[in-house]
Amino acid sequence: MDVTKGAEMSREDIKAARQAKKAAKKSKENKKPEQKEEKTIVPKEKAQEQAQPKPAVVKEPVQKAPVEKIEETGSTDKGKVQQKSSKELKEERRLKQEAQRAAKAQKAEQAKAPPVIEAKPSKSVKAVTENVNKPAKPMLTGLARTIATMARECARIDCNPDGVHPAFLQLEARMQSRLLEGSTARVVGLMRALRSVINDYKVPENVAITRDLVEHVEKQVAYLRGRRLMSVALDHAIKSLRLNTLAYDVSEQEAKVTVNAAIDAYINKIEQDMQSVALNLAHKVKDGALLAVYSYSCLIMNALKQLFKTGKRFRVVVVGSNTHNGGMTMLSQLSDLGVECTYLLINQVNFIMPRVQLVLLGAESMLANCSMVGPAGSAQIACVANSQGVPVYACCETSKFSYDSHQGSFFKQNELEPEFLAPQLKNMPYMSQCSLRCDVVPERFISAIITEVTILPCSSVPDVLHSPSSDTVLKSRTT
Amino acid sequence: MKSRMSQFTEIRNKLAFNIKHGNIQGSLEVAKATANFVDLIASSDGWTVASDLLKIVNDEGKKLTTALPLHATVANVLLQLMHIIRAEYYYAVNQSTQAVQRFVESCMNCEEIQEKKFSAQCPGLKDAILDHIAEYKTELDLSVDNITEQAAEQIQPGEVIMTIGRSSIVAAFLQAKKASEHFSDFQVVVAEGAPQCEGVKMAELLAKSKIQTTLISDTNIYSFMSRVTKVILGTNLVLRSGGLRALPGAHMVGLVAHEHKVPVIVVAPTYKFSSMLSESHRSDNETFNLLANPQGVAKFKDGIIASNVKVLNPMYDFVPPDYVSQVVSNIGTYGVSHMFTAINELYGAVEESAKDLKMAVV
Repeated sequence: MDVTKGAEMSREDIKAARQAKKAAKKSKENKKPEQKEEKTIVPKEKAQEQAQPKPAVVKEPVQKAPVEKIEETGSTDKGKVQQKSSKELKEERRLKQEAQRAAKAQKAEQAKAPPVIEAKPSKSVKAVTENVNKPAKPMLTGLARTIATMARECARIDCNPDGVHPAFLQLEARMQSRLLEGSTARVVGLMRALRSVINDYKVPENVAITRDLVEHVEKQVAYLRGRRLMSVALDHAIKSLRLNTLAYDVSEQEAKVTVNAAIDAYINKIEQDMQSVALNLAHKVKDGALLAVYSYSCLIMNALKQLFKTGKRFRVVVVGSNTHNGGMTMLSQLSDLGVECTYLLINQVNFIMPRVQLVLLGAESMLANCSMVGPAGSAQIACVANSQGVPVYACCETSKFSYDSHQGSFFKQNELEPEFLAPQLKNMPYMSQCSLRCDVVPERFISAIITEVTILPCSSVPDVLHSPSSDTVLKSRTT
Repeated sequence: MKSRMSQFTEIRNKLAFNIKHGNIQGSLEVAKATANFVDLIASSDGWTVASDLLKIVNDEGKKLTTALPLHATVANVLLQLMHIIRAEYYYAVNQSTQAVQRFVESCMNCEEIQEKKFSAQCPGLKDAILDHIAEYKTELDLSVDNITEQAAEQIQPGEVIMTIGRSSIVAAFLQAKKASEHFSDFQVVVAEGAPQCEGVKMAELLAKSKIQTTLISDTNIYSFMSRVTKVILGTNLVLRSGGLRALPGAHMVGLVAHEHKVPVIVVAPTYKFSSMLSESHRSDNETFNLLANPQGVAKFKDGIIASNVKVLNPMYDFVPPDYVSQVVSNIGTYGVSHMFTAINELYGAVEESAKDLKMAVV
């Protein structure tokens, strides 16, 4: 009891107030069962009042429906109630149709899918049939609806594994399960898979090799695109092979040699770029510095390896996340090197941030509006670092600069993680789950971009994209 | 005297054991248990004059807080009850409420406390004190209800509310708003809250109350914040500066909300108001933070890697007062800048009493 408020009241008043409090507490315990009865009585009365002025024909269905509707949705307008019931029917129909469509697609996959993926279709067919029998879930609104729509769009993309080379199927599986993680690693993986595709490729009779080859490769890539695993770096890699500029009269053997050479050259270029980035990074990392890195990045790992071998002694804080293993992979590789490491989760990064000298973030790509796309969580780390005055460097080769430009992380190519956060709550009504894969880090959090050419400020991204010396092939927009 | 001291010692040790080993779950239960303990002391025959009682409570309290350095709820309840005892004494001596008010205001100066010897004999003092302590215990029982009554004003229809981890008071707050009107159409986004991942249970709780919930990973807090209209946090402690000692991730949520200019509301009953001012010395401060078992951060199967590196798992997070906009408690809603005065009024002579109890003050 706040004694200061007792100034005006006398001693008796204080005692009376205490008695009243005790009585209120007792009455509250008795009131609770009564209140529940009152609530159910009120809506029924309201429904009867509504039903009275309406014609007799429509009376019956309206009387029954509002009793449940009011408790759930709070809509008292009779017209809205009728519309909602037909909407619900539409929803049910739509769900059934989708279920049937999904069942068809699953059957088609079942026949062709390699053993790795075989375990999934049977489970999902079961789940789909179960869904059809369950009653329609309450309508989603607002944010939950956005997420559900995104998830549905992701799932709806029809990607047929017919005619896809096993190397690409394997690649897709590795990327999906995050065995192959990080932009650069994925590009190298893609290039290697492409090499096996080219080697196994046989030109059909009487067809121009260039056109057929381009289509063949595009088909493989479309599978990845359907699985939402394509990124800017991968797109650029494919385009740089210049498959559509092969000479018309070249023989199959020569074409294969040319393309393989292009692939090798590209892989070499990637490795050279990684070395250049390492050299540029050396300017920023001082001896004895404490660096922070987030999740796995092939580029940063390589750069740190180089620095360590040239004798620079630094310590690293690896920030991991609960949802993927990138942090642990980075941690194991660094500690194998012999670097002194600390590990914590993204939630606790505030604990260590005052001691950190710089933060290195691996970029998925740089957007034309100068923001960085990185693994989910990068924006938060950059934000915390910014608030503590710690510089944040994005490590990104110029081949990952993109013409795309969007605000915020809800963009079309940002896929939702396949694993649910809490799989046991997957089908619970009123519940939706969302785990985005990528994050857009605003320009103001990033101090500089470390590229293979030089260290650039964020605002130079459009200059690099539009410069006359940049690859004309890459100037076409990515889809 | 010694036999009576040993009587309290056994009870005190049992209480400390129960709290430390989790037999008493939740801050409310801990607060109630501490209040019962002080009630026991006050109703015993070991004291005749207020200064004796204060000395016994102080001694027992000091040993209790030494045994439980991180359970600040215990210290908060002790501070509150000691203030109640002093106020009751002062009233009994002066028989006027105006004098009590002056006394409470003068508690801002610690020398006044030392001047008051509290040694005058007052008939009926014991009953008055026991009465007041019983009232305090009722207040504890009603604390959640008093907070949830304010839910209707704090949340508007159509809002998207973000929270992190699991807090039973925040859950009750949201459920109360949902139950209050038919048109309560708001949504909740719950961040997981690694490493405990209690956010999953929170989402389940809310979804069962028919609140549209979205469970997100901690890594997506920045992405979702642009769509959030309010953040409601539960906390372990509210500090005198208005900052918080909360679960890991709270700092990040507060910071990101600050970036997006989203208001942050903290829901905390009075037994979470602490005498601590700030989190000085950050990670070195033993009474502020604790590095818990790294099992939550690095799983056992990663042990081969983890044995060569330092794995950190701090239990609490400091949220600076800049990121918080208001604190909703059972005695009303406070703006963050008012917390210092509010806590001083609540506990009277905070710094002096806290030092006596060997609690952190700064």
